[in-house]
Amino acid sequence: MRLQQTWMIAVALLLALAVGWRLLAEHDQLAAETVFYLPPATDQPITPIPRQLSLDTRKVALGRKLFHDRRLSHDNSLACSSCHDLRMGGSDGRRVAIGFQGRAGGLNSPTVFNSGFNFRQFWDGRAASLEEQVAGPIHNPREMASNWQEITAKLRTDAALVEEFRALWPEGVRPDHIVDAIAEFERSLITPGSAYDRYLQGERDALNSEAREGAELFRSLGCIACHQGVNLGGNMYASMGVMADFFAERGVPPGKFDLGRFNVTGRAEDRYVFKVPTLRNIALTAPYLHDGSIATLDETVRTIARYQLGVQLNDRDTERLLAFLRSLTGRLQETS
Amino acid sequence: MQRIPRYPLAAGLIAAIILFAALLWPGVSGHVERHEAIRGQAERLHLAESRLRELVIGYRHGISSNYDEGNMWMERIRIGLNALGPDLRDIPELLDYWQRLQQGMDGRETHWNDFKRRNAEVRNALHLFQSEIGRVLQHLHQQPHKSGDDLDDDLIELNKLLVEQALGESGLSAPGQYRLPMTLRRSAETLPLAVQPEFKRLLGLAEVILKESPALADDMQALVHGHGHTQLTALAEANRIRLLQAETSATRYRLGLLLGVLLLALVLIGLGNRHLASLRRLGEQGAFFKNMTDHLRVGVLAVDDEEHIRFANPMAEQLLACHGNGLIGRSMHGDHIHVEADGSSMARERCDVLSRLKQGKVYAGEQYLRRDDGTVIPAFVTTGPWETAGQSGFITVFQDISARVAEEKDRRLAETVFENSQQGIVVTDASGTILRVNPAYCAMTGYREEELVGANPRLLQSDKQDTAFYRTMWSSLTESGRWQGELRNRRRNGELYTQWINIDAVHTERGDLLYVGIASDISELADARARLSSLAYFDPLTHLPNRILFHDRLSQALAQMHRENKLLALIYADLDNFKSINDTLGHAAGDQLLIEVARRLQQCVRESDTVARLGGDEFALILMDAQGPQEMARLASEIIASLSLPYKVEGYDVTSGASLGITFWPTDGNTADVLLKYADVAMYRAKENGRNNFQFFTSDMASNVADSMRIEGALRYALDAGELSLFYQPQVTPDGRAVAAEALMRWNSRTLGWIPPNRFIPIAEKSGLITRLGDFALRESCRQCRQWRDDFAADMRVSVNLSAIQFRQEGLLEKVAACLHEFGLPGDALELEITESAVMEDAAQGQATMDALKRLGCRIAIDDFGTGYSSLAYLKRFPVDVLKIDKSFIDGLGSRADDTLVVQAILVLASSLGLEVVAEGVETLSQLEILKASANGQYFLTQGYFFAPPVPAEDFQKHFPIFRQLKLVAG
Repeated sequence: MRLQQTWMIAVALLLALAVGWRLLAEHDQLAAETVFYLPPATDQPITPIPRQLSLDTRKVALGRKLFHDRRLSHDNSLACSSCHDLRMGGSDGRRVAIGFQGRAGGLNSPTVFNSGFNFRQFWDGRAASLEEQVAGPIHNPREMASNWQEITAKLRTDAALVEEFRALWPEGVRPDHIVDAIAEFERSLITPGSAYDRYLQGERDALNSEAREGAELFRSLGCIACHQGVNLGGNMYASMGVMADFFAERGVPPGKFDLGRFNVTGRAEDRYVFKVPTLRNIALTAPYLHDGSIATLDETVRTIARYQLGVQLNDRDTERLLAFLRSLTGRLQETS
Repeated sequence: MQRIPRYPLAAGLIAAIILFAALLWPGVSGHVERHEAIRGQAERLHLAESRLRELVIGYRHGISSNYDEGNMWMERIRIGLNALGPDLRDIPELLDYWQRLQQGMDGRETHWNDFKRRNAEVRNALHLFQSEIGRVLQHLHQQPHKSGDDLDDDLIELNKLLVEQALGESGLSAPGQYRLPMTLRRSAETLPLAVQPEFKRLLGLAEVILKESPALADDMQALVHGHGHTQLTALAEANRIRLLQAETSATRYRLGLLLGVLLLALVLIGLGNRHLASLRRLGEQGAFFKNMTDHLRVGVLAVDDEEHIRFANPMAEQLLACHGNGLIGRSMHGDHIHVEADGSSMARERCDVLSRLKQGKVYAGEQYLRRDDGTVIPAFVTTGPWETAGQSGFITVFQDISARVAEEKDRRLAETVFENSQQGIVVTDASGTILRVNPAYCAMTGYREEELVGANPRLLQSDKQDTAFYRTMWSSLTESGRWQGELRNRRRNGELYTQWINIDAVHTERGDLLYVGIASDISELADARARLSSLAYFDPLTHLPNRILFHDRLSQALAQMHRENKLLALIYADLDNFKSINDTLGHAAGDQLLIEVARRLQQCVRESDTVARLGGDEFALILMDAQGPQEMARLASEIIASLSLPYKVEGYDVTSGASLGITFWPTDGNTADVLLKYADVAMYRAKENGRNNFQFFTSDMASNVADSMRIEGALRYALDAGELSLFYQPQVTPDGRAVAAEALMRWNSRTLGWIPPNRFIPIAEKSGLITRLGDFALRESCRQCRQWRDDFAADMRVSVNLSAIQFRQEGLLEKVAACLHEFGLPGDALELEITESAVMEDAAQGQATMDALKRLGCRIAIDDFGTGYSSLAYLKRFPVDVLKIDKSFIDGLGSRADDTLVVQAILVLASSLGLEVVAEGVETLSQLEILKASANGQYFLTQGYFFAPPVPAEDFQKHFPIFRQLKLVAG
């Protein structure tokens, strides 16, 4: 009897030991980090988009399906791609997003292209990653107006899809896996090979002299102070209206959506502060600004120069800047 | 027959199994691994921290403006911190540091985001402000208004304030809360309407800078000097101590356990030996024996006299890995179970166990056993004789001690770590007497181990810490049992070093109090820290304060003098022939000279005064509590005398001298910049007055400076406003036939009137505007030449001056070629005038440029020939076409004999080298006659008022019938 007890104790100890080892080993795996893009250490204010990224192609494929899947909205009417149309520069061409049952959102849909390079997501930067971002529109009553329970229930009835999930994760369809796949797909939406990138990579003829002058103007005027990095933006916040009061002169009094980062932090100095938007493919994503209040790029460039730099652009310089901005349009990378 | 003592045996077994299990329990070494993991993570965090700090400094100073990398490191710090948390969950002390780091994180991210935004805004605003201010000044001049020149001064002052604010070094003159001067706001309202918008825009930019700069400095301060770094270092250090403690206790723990197991094994063997025979015979007892041995965690073998195994318990089979094969019947030596350490078979004669048994004694010791899978394990073997009715032999109990052997290795490793640790480790008793030190500690202190053991660490004390410091340290040690911090100690050789030391109060098992100190020599780090800050603020060559620190010191001195209501003097010193020493003897010599100059300057002034090197051969001295001009004059003479003494550099004796400019605060100027600017002006005046002397700043210099600034401001827009034009002075043959014209720049400023070239050209050269002026002259004269050629003179040639800056400028050749091409001119229609000094600044490059100009067909003339630095060797080598005799020699023709000789010499020289000559400044007939006589038939041209003054292009043809004559000849 006593011996049996001893055995039991010994077995229990051994079990505990095995579990301990297992936990330690798992922890090590967690510590290994995964990186999809490392910015080069460089003095160059603008760096070209890399042609290759290290992504999980199976997740990308699944993410592509989910991105276009209307079951992600409450009434099966909208998919992510409804507002981030890959044929329309990753945006929707509307002033503000139109969501569930035609409800209008408060802000202009930002492009999904190259969004993986942004340091935060949303105009006010409230999501730290694409993964965090995905849940936003899904739950927003003005957008897809759904929830995870509803979505997973719908998707689990699709045997083929469930099988695809199983191949990646034994647990099958789960909110975190959906998020994982969509985010991985969004990261794959990069647009390398723009004329300006090719110019940066040493192809001197990639830009005509007009665009080259525009690039120089972009630098000398100071546009580049905020629109820099691989995405020409998307890596900092800035005040809307440094040199003049944009909201006072816009005509429409400022509402909650115009408060920008203030809605996240509540700090007075964050009032009217927004994430600097990327200028990549800017020629494709009209209308412009966080409120979509300006229809043309020409007018936007003049407006931003006036409010952010206090500069009244003449027609000639505007043309040059536009030529430069048009050279930032790249080709959507097809991921195999 | 004996009774089996059940309970002790069972208890022994339980104890043995628990101990054994405990021996395998990884929790012990788990601690060590965990602390090592923490250390690795802390190091990665450290790296990210320092990289981010470097980047922030870079962003602030415009070295880089790409925030992607900064974001990446910030993200890594966040991820790294998050990953560290779970590892620290039950180490309250480390968790405490971590929580503080984590709490600081949100604040740092906010600072980081604000930093990016404000840095962009402030840098942009400053850039725009500076590119606009000139134009606004110009427009203010063109539009009469009430505020007059005061507004100019206010704006220029504002510009200085903004630069200070926007680029102010954090830690030095931290930007304060400045408001835009009310006068400027009020002036804005009184200005003419045409200027108001751009003036207000300028004020708007200034407001952005003034508003955001203080917060920007705060953000930078928080990012560069925030607490994260200290907390992280503290965490790493605390962890390091934990690691060492864990290593020590792990070793101790395992040794203890092993001893316990061995003791138990002996007890079991004793018991087993007593009962084996009876158990074999007696059913119940036999069953019990088997039952017991079945569950023993030691191998038990009973072997008969023939060495065949008669009994083996399951553990023995398991330990020897013969699952299923069975051991019964095998021979200990014959079947290679008991083997040598290397696995080879053991002869019976060599077997220690057998020889001991033969003496009738029990054997206990380490032997090697071969397992069926071929591996050999070390085993602790206890063997005693066994005898029951009818059978005898011996019983062997053995225990796999691979683990213990490994343990022993670990212990030795710990000892090695102690001995080889890069960190010094010192152990003292409660009274502070040193008990042990490791070699690193000896190396750090310079003492030998035997000198330190038995001594008190007081031995190492320097006077760099006071008694209060030690009192705090001891009270921390007695209260919390630990202390850590930086200590400045003295090595055996008296040298000071900086160590980071963690002291822990540790209680031994016996309850004695020990202090364990782990010290690292961070002298290099401390030195590097000091060097870094000195690099930023001190000139590495002379170790004098550099321009940044100088400005800081000056502002501080001004503030102090203001408080004490005293006078301050500023001396600006420039060496007189530094450049030629540098050029002739080389940079090393120049450097030596500068070092010596710095030393002498320091000797001339009081300790409390500042001597700074502003760059090149320029030095500045701040003299607080100056008594007045007499005292300064005396000091200046002293300095000049001292600097004029010969220097010994690179084995040469050289002499130099200095020109000094002196200003006083507050009489000459109110701000540091004005004071320095004025001292500079006074220094230049001293230089003009013949070098090696000094000059006080006077009010006429002040107006001169203001004039220059006004001229520069106006000149900036003169070209666009069409205020600059070219006049042309004909170059004429002695018989009055004009063949060429020199283009001369004239400026009629709308606000300042006619400004002579000798006034505005030096200003244009200083401000860099000369390039634009030169380009204009080049193109305009080519255009004019084309027109003249078309209109009336097919052979017309123009001569254009090239400044030294233009001559060196890249792209000159392309410009010249483009101008010629644009107007369809052959190269020889253009003559380029260069001064000797411009060519000689870099003779090799100069020759290359001239050769290239020659290839374009252009003519090259040496301007002001004879006044500069003439080298006949170069003259011969350079592709020169024309020498222009300087006006000063022509002036003296007929009145000064030596001038006539010089002119004759130049004519002879030109003739022998095949060069043409142009005599400049011919004003009288007698000068022309003397020239003709001296030339003795040699071809030359004259240029001067005798034939014609410089005139506007449109008057050129009208005023010169000579050219009509030429046209007749040509056409």
